[in-house]
Amino acid sequence: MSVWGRRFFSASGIIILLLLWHWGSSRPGWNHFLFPAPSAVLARMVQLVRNGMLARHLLASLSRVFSGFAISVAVAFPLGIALALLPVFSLPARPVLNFVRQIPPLAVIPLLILGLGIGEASRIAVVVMASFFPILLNAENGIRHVDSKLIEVGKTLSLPRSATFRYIAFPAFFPHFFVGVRLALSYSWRSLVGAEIVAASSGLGYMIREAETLSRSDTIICGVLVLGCVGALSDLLLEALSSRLFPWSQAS
Amino acid sequence: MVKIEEISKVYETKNGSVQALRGVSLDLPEGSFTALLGKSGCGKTTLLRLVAGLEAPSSGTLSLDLPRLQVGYVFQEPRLMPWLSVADNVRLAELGGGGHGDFDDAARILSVLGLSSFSKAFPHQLSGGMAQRVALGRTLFCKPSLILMDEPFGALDWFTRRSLQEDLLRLWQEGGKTILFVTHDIDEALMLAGRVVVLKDGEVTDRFEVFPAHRRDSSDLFPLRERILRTLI
Repeated sequence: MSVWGRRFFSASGIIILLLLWHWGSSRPGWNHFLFPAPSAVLARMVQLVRNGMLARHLLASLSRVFSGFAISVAVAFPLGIALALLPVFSLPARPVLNFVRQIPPLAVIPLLILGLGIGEASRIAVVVMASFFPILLNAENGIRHVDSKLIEVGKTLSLPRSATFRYIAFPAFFPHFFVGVRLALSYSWRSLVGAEIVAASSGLGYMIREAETLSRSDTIICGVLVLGCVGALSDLLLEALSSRLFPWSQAS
Repeated sequence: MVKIEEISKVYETKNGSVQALRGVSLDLPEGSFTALLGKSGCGKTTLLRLVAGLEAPSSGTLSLDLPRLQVGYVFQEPRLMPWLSVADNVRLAELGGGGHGDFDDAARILSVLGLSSFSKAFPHQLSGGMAQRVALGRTLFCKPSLILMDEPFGALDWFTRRSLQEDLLRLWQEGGKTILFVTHDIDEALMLAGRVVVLKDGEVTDRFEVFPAHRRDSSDLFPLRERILRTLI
C-alpha cells in the first residue's frame, strides 16, 4: 500500500465516525440538546476560536501540563535510576511507591487544596502525581534493559566508563525511558482535566464544567474534541521523535 | 604469551557450589592457534572468560605478557550495538577513545570481510553471518595480538561457517596473532587449529598436535578425529 493509501486508510475510521454522526443527527428523534449535529459543533468551535476563549483555556491547560510534566521528568528520572541501581534505596522505597502509585490523583485534590491552596500549585501537583509513575517505572525498567552482554563487549574493547555509558548503556536505556515519557504525557492530560473541573477558573476542564452549568453541550463537545486532538497530536509528535531518535527500536 | 597454571573456578549458586574448572594448566605460545574442544558445560567458555579478564579465577594463576588492550574477544553471538551502523560498530573502540585503529583501518577491515557495501547499514539489516563478520571486524580493528573466540560460528549455516572459517584461517596465516578458539565441533577444531586441547568436566584430559600439512578436512585426519572423539565420549 502506498504512503497516501495508508494515510487515507488510517483516517477512514475517523471519517466513518463523522459521517455516522452527521447521518444520525439528520434522523428524526436525534437528541440535539445532548448531542448537537457536527455542523452546530463546528459553528461553536469557530465562535470559540474567534472570541479567543478556546486559545485562552487551551494555553492555561498546556502550561499546567508542561509544568507538571517537566517536574515529573526532573524528579522521576533520577529516582528511577536510583531504584534500579541502589538496593539500599529501592528496598525501603518500593513499598511506599507502590502504595502511592495506587492512589488516583483526583482522590487527593481536597488534600492538595488544603495544603497548597486553590491556585496553580495544586493543579500542577495533580499532573505531577499522574505523570510521575510512568516515568519512574520506565526509567527503572530502562536500566534493567541495558543488556549486560553488551556491557561486556565494552569491557573486552577496554572502553572507558564514560564511553560505555555514552555508546552502550544510554542508547539501550533511552527508548524504554521514552515509552514512559509518552505514557506520562497522556496521563497528564487526563488528570489535568479532572483537576480543572474541580478547582480552576481557566483551562479546558474549566471550560467544559462551565458549559455544563450553562447547558451548552456544543461547547462541551468542542472541549472534548480539542482535548482528544491535542493529546493525540502530542503523542504523534513524540512517536515521530522516537522513530527519528531510535530507528533500531522500531525495527526490533 | 599466555600461561595458565592450575586454574580453578567455582560458582556459588542457590543449589550449592558448581566447580566449572579444576586445576587447568595451559600455555599459549605466541602465534599459535589452539582449539579448546569439549561438550557443552565442560568449562570452555569459563576458561575463555578468565583469560579475557571478564571473571576472576577462584584459585591458580594466569599470566599474560601483553596489555589488556591487545586482547580481542569474539563472542558466541555477534553482540553488535543495534544503534550503531556497521562501520561504527567496527570502530566502537575508536569512538570510545580507545585509539586502537583509525578510519582507514575500519574501511580496510570491512573490505577484507566483504562488508564494504554494508558499512552504513544497521545490525537489524544484516544476516547472521554478516553480523558475525562485523563482530570479527570489531575485534580485528583493535589490532589484538591475542584473539579469544567463543564458538563464534556455532549458530551459522554450513556455507557461512565454512566461509568465515576460511577468512579466519587466512587472517591467522598472515601472522602476528595468537588464537584461542572454543568449539564443540571436532571438524572445526581440526580444520583451524594447530593444537586441540580437550576439556572434560572442567579438566584438560588430552592435547593433540595437528600437523600443518594435515590441516583442513583431509582424510589423513580421520584417525586423529577418531582418537579425539574417543576421549570426548
